[in-house]
Amino acid sequence: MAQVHEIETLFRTYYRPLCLYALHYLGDPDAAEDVVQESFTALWRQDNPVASTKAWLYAAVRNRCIDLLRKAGKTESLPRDLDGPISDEEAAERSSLEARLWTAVEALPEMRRKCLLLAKRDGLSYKEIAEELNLSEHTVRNHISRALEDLREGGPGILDFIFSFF
Amino acid sequence: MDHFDEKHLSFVLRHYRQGAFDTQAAWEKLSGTRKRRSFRLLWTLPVAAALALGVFFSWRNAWTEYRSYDVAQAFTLVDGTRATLAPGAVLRYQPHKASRQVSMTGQVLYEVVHDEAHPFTVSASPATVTVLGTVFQVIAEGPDTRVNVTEGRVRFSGPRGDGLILTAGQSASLRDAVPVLEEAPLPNPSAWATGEFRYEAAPLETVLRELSAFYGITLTADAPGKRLTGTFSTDDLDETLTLIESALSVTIGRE
Repeated sequence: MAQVHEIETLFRTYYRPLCLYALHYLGDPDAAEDVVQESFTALWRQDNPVASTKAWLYAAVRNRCIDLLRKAGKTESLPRDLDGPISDEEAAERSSLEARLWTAVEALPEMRRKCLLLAKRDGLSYKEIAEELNLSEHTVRNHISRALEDLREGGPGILDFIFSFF
Repeated sequence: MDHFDEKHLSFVLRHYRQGAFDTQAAWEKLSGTRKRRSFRLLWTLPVAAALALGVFFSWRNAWTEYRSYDVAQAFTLVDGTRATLAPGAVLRYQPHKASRQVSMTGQVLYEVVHDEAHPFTVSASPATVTVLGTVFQVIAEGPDTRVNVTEGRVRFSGPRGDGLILTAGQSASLRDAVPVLEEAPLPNPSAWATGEFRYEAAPLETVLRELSAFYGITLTADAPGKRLTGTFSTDDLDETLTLIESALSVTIGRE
């Protein structure tokens, strides 16, 4: 059985990437979090030493996701992008980058984040966002381009800083 | 850091929810500690002690999961609420918590026990349905969430806006993260669970539309303006059609 502090380090390093990985399979953040939690619990209870904990965790999450999809009667159990199925390797590869992006979106100033999400997640036009948030269209456009700038330019630096905490 | 593409950002933004994937909260849930700093000492105690604490918290926070496989199945939750799960549906909740909160996917019919102090909440990501005591069904398949209300009132909320109050006989579905009322809802959205179609002066076109959708066929009748009253079992389509034909003196064509 692994020691608590070992598990904690692994957890803080891989929790979000694994969630993003599971999200590619399940498309639902709550289900993804549950699968990752269960996988860590399984790792904690694991009696035999694990050669590569990272590989073990990704495999555990993948197996649980596929299991869930099968039980839900889905005929296809490939991970997905917004455009359609992708390979398991691609989902795993993308997960750590996407986890950092998730953190960067979280770290955006509130208005920038709101405008960005209303535009890109909810598909609202600048005009609709302006009405919803009581701003001018010009301000909305500014918030969104600043948000993208934060993510593209400032993002990596901030992200490395955030991650160095773990 | 390696650069990201539009596809990475689009995927993250599409699924992004403030507060989701919270590493700290998730770690506390796993380790069973609420205040990590004050429990620093714990890490030096035998692992058994940590596990004992974990067992207590995991009991209180334990999730119970119900699933329905090939046939619809009904379950009774600890508060007495009845949930009927269509094949493939999954329902999860924490029976030891006072709050009445369930999460689900698939299609579920609820008969909720009335309790003013504890609203019953269904989260069917990305939508939320809140009720006091009523009969309603939620269909959560991917991003498309639909709610049909049979009795009482429910509040149906998406990620955006204040949500929508639905009353008996009303249906709504999520469009662009906002619930929108359906203009001509079918009279028996929960027939799969109740086993019957009930009609009260329902237009024949509506009845045929519902039966067509339920059985996956196309039923037509050239008899505008006719209305049907009666209760029919879902078990025998032929008998139902014969009864309707003789009651309304119409001929129903099927493809």
